Amino acid sequence: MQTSGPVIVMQVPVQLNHTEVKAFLADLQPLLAGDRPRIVLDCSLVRYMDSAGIEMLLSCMEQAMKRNGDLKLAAVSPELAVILELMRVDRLFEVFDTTEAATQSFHAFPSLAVSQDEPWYSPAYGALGSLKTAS
Amino acid sequence: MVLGAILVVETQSEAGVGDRPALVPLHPADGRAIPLSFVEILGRSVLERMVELFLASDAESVALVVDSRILHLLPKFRQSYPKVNVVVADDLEVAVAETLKSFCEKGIDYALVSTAGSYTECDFIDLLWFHRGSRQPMTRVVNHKSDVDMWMVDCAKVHPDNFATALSASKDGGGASYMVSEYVNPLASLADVRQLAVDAFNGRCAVRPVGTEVRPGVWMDEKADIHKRARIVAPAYIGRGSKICEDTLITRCSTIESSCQIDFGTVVEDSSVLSGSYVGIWLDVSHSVVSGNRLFNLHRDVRLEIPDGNVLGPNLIPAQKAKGESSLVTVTSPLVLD
Repeated sequence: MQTSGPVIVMQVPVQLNHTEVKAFLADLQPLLAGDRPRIVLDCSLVRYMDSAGIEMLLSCMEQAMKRNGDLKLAAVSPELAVILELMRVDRLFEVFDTTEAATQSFHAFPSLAVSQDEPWYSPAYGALGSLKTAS
Repeated sequence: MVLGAILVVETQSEAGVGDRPALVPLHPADGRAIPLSFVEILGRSVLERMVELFLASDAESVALVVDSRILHLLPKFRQSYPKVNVVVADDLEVAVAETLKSFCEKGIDYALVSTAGSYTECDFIDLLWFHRGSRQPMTRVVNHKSDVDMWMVDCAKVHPDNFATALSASKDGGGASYMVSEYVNPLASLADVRQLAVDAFNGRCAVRPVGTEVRPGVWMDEKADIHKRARIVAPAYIGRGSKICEDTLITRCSTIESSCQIDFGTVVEDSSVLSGSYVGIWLDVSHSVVSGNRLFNLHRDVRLEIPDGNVLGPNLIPAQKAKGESSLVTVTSPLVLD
């Protein structure tokens, strides 16, 4: 089975509190409905996020992972970093310095470059092939 | 030789989180900006510690010259000091000059004049002898790292008429200066406040926590309530009347000042929770200073205001919380010394 769908990068607004969450979620929800949603949230502009915003992030990540996808954070602002650490959820997300790095991370395992029909020990998978040879 | 001391308490316009200017720590209950020297560190305000330093140098009289705009913010001292009196002034320079004159009339020969802007430990007797040897009306104290607004003044030689001139001359580098080699904390930012606490734990300055050292490196002040399942890792300080709930962790030179509450499961690491603050459940406060609903993260140089009182806020008594009142546990009445 081939992976499908592009990586979606969404900008998180400056303030994500209980009133802003609904609007943001309305934009994000359709993206989570697809198969293997791959979403990068650009957090460079975020200056404040309350517990409703944190809960929304966690919920969206959970939904994405249930569909074999993922949700990652990129360019986290210092303010948001402090909030995530305060709420103890910083370790739950994959965080990248830039949206490019976050986007690239979805392609780290070359599932698009190599056909899924190839066995796991195929040389196309690099180091895994040497494991087969060693065994 | 009779020694006096004048401690000038003026408004502080800005105090940085790290090196960048920002707002001074705000009063937990009502958000008033307070000077950093008013902040309680290890159970006692920096201002009171300065007063104690002067009294320890055998100062016959200590005058607190206070800017009238911040008189109502003066912290309450832990004990009374009969030798200390408060002078309220609109013009601080004039008030200092007048105080020097009154010292002279009382027979006080020399006066140590200092602002409350920095915390300086100095051998005042050595400074006095240096000043006498210099034969100048005013000797400025300097430090190679930071500005120290401190002078030794000959009360008989400095009059209200020439005080400003003499002060200006000493600031411009005229005359001999006394280099202080002991501990100096500029108190220019919250990072300095935090550093003072860390230095006190590490024995780098004369500041000592108030209370009892219940085990090596862990101090508790009176009426501190620590749950038996809370973990306090040395060095740490728990202030008077503070409550530490179960499954909390207080570690790495953290200070919980008076009348605070650290709720279930929260970790406080390398941080100071200022007097009268509430920290909610299952939080992770690290490398920060907390004052009411304001969190100042020193590593990231970030200042946050958390509107949700269940996360951070002033420490309210439960009955007051139910009524919706917002009065604070900590008393901050004007200083009454005499």
